[in-house]
Amino acid sequence: MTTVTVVLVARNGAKHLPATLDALAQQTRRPDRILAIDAASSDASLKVLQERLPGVTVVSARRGSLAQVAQSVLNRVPTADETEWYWFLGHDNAPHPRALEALLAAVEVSPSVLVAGPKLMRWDDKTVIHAYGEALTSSGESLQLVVDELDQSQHDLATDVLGVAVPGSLVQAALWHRLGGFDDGLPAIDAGLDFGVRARLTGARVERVPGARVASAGPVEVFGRRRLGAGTRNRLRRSAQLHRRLVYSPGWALPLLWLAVLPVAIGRSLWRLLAKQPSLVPGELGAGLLGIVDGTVLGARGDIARTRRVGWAAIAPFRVTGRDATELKDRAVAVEARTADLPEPIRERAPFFASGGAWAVLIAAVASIVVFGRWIGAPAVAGGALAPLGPIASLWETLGIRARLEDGGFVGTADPFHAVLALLGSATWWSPSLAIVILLIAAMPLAALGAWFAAARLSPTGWGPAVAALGWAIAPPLIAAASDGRVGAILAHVLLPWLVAAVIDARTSWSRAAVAALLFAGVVAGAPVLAPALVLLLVALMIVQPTRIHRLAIIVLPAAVLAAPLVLAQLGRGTPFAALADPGIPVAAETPRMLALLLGSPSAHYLEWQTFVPALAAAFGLPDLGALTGTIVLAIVVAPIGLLAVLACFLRGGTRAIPALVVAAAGLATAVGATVLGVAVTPLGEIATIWPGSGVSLYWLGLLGAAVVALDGLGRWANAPAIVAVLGLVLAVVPLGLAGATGQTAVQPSAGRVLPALVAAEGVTDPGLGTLDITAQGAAEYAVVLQRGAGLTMERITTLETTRTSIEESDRSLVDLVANLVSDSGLDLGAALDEAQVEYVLLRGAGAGTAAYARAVDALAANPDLVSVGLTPLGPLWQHPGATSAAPATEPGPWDTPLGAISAAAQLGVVGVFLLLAVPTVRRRGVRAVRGRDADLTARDAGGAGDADAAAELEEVR
Amino acid sequence: MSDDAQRKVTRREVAVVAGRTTAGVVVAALAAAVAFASTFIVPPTWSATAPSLTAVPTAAPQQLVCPGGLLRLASDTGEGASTASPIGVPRTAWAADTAVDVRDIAGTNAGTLGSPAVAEIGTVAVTGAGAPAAAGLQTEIVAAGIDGLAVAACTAPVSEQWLVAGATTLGRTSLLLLTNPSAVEATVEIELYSEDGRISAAGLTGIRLAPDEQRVIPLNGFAVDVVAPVVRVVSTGGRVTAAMQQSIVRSLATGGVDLVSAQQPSSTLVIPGIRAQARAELATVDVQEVDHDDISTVLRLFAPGTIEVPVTVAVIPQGATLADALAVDETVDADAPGDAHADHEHDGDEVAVPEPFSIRLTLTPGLVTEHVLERVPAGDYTIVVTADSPLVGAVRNSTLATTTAGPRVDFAWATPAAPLADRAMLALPRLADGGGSVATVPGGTAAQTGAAPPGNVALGYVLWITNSGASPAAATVTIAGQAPITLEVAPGATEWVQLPVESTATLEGVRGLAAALLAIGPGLNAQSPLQPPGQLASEVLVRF
Repeated sequence: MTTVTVVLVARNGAKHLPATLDALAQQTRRPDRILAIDAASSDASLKVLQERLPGVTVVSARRGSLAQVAQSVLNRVPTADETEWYWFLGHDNAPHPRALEALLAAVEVSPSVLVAGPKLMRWDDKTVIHAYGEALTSSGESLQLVVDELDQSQHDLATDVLGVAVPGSLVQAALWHRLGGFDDGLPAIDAGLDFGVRARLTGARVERVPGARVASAGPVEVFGRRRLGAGTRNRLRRSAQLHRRLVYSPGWALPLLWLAVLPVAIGRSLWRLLAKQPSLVPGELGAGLLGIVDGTVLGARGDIARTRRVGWAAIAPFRVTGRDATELKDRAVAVEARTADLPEPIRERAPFFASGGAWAVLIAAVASIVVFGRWIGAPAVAGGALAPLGPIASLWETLGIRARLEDGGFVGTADPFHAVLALLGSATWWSPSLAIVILLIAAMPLAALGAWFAAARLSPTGWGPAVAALGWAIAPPLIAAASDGRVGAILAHVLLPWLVAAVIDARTSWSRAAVAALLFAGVVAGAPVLAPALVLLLVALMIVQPTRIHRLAIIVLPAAVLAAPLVLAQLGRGTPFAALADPGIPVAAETPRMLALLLGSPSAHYLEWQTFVPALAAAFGLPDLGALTGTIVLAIVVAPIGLLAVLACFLRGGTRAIPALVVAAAGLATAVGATVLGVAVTPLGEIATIWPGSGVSLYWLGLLGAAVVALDGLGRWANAPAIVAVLGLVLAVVPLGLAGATGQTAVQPSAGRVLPALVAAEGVTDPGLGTLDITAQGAAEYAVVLQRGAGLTMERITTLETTRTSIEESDRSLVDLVANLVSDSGLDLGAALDEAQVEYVLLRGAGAGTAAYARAVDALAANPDLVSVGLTPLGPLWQHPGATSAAPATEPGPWDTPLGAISAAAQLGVVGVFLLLAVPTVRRRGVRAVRGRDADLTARDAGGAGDADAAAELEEVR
Repeated sequence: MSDDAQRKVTRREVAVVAGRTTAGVVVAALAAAVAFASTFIVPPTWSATAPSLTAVPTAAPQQLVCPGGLLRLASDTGEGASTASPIGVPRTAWAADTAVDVRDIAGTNAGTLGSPAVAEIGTVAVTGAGAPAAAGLQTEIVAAGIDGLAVAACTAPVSEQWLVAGATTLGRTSLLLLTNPSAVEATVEIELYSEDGRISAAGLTGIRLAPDEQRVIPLNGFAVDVVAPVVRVVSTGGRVTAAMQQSIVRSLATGGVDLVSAQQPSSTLVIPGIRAQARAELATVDVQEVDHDDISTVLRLFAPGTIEVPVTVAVIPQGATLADALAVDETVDADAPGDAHADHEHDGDEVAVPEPFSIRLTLTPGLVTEHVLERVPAGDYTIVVTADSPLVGAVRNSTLATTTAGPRVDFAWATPAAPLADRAMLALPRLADGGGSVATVPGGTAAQTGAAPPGNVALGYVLWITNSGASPAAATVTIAGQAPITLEVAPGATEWVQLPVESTATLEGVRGLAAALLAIGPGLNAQSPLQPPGQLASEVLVRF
């Protein structure tokens, strides 16, 4: 006589319990006993059980999954005989009235069937199969044989399965106790599958019973929980799989598998990043960590060894292989994705070639060649803020927090910009300076390209993108930056439009968020002064769209990690503003007035109009109208773009101009703020303010953005304003362009050396070689740099050094040495030079003509400890023969200090993770394509505005 | 129904347009406000201070180089016309606040090595903060074909200096004496200017002097028949001293010898200690027609540079002031009809009483200008030359006396005296003929202002102190072992004091004053301005 004990486990299931208990009461084959267990529910489950099952003692248990709770309670029950069966039901497993009857029928027909599972139907839609049997792949992954399929009896024929889910399953009590119940190591997922596997290893059979239908409100792992994140589910799944792998493996493979757990977890994490599933990464790592300390493995292996009657070959036929496995997995992913990330919206691609993008880029390229064509063919350019780059090895060596020979030797961090330089220089590894030449010449077309694509997001058709592309390519701050050799500012200018486009997309895509984060890091590395404004703008965006905070917040992460050592160092030094200093050689310039900045001029000379107009007047014999005329002319030519930007607000779609104008305001504020912060010291000992041009770039970006909106809103009346605006912008930079074309730029073609050839050549092999680089000024003033090795190439100029204003002890001895070198001195200069480890003394020709220069030449020439090497192109050079070089700055290296190692690891880690996230992968899109709802999405997207706003709208609908 | 819908839409449209217009107006107003504000708002700035330090270099010992004995270009036998050899033995004396370490130069082509006539280098130790006052003076009287008195101060090496003296016409020999007292080799470039412009000659550039080496360069070998040479000496590497020895032989009669120290260009040339003799007395000197007139008192000026330099020359007789001289402008206007000079009340061949006057000249760039001062009657003068740009200059005057051995002619180049520091030292060696035939006369204790300066009767020293400034000065002269003498020097005036030979003197309170030593004797004449102490290296501002 068969007896059936219902093991009913309720965990926060008050909502489902009544229906389940009703269904239980309506069974055609009434269960003989009910073992009601309340798993520490926090809701009314216990009360419902007690009320609805008056004669039954409700057992209380600790929280856990169905299998866990059943295990903990049944373990205390004495072993039963072969006629007794357990029917495991959760609070949500309302059985069909004939379910138990069907199950019993199945096990009674075949005595070898000791486990039987019903069709688990969706709670909310009883015609859809939620789960129906489980299997293993050849690699041991578990698989749901059926996931969310409409029940058309399509699975009714095949009844033999490897395992069935615990909920609803009917298990022979004797077998259950013989096998030791469910595996403790599988608390949630795969408990049923594992039990099936072990049952089959004893020679028993597991069957699924098509006639038995039991409802299920969700997967086993969600049992009793309100909801379960994708990450946690993945961790549970991975944990279960790892556990089973360790348990099922042959004994000899166990150590190897155990050792591989963590590496595999890390590898899978990276793969998850590549697959743009960063939320699954913690689960992968967590599962791996838990896997290596999984203490239940040995017990489970012992259980199997004890109970196994047949070989593992008995399992083999049930493994799902090849295409079937792939299909099932894909299906599971597809079903799950319904609750995961929103898909990337498929956007309308603006026709780059058809609507003028290519023309804009071409025109920008021609303009760039006209203005900066003289640099073509030069191996390096230098001047202004730009020094030549050192060899490729040096570019990478100088990164991180490490010992530096400059400035008398110190341990300090590189700028984030140096990482960018290293990357740039690596592009032309045989001559890194060449990359800078190329960047300078290509900056204008690159800017046009980026601006075109960004503007096409705002206004896919019409004049907007073309005007934006041209306006951005010939933006005054870009031309000024190129003329002054401000590589960082150029980089920021080129990257800004891409950043804007990426940020717009980042709201809905992890991948785009990662791209935006990397672009943000690049922009901030190039122009640190933009960081406050950009962060504030991001915060504003987060406030406007709080649901996207998580993706927007990570945008600042790589930049923050890269800049952290520098910012901390500057804070520690008490010079917080110095963290905003421009990378490269500081250049002192006259501070532009606010009006100049407003008119787009990063210099005080109103884009050289103040000198251009009088010169023009003189050339045509007109009366000199004064510098003010230049200001007025500039104001007139840039007025159209400004008026367009303001006009945008009056037009249809004008709300889109508001963010652009906010950006413009932030840019203008940054520019004004930059001009008031004198943070860096030029090589000539003057104070240089932060370059306002980067702020002007941001301001220009906002203006152009608003102008694009205006042109979009003007529709068919856009032609004349667009042409006038572009002509005005072109006119505005004519003086700057002429200055560039005629070679009146700070940047000039260079041989790529900072020091005379002789010293540079020796310095390459001897990085500690000391050269005292003296520039005479005025009556008796000298600016001094103690150069080491081949000199201060770009990668060795750190803002930590250029913004140092404190006076150290080493400075005093250097100053004493210099004062005596340039004077008729009674000091033993030979010993002093030896002590300072100076072999060469270079007196820059730049100071020639001053009294100080004459004095220095006189004294240096008369110095018996110096041998004149000769007059180099940079100025006269002396050698102090026999001087020792400073020890190379090898200790400590970037990994040798705790802070350095931590920051280097964090930087590499974060940038690596973001790179993986940002690398485009097509996998998910392929999966998506099979889904009906996505197809709908795409259709709506294409027909609608086609931008992220529409996608965002859809997301909300969803 | 349709009307309702129509109205609804219209209302909505109106609201939208109104909203847009409001937003637009607000934005436009904000933009206008920013634009307006930008024209006058100047935000406050926050700026770091550029790091810089000042440092005072360690003082270097001062070096003073005495040029060594007078030379002739042929031996006593007349052989070796291109080889220099010493004529006699100079007498050198040193005076300094601190110790002076004197050594001989290590090499020379003057043939003086090992002899008492060798050039000497005095190294003055530096103690304390300021530059020590130190002086070395070398005197020599010769009467061996080249006759006369030469007095030269020992000077500090510099990298650029000018010599205004010499001539290479017939009978005039000019020897350039270069000495490198430094520890490194010096490369010397010589620029030679004449009344006709710059003279380029091979051998004037790239002259290398080893440390402690002296080189005698006869100017006659590079340029002949130059009436008025001016020499610029530029050295790189080691710094050098330069001096010029000029001797005159008119036909067979000796015309004197002088040793001239180098000077630095200055826009104010103060030349004290010019003793002019009556032209009538000098007229007895046999000046051949082939010779130019180098017996008159002549002012030689040269302006480095490329522009014309107008200069004012003030001739101040003893007792008058610079202001007196400037008040009497006697410029001869070349364009004026007739002879302005003839119209002047001082017409006639000779003016008996020295009177102050000034003339204005214009110096042509690149050309040496010589201006004969015709109307300077016998007396003691100070000449002050002022210009807007630096120039160099010197005054040559001659003296004649009849001695037991016959008439004796000598000349002296009076060179500008640089402004002194607070203190100055004077070393006064013995003044004596090589043969001792002329008795040395111990100097008087002092002479009051107003009394006539001692004449050329006996050998002796007279110190002239000129105050070219605007405020009166009181200079104290302390002759070793004697009571201090205070000289009140009025602005623009020159005072004098006679100094004994073989003594030292200390000058105090002489900051900014110019002083020159005049050595005199019958038919002997030499002037040597006092050198200010070498400037200790001044402090330096170093930025880093």
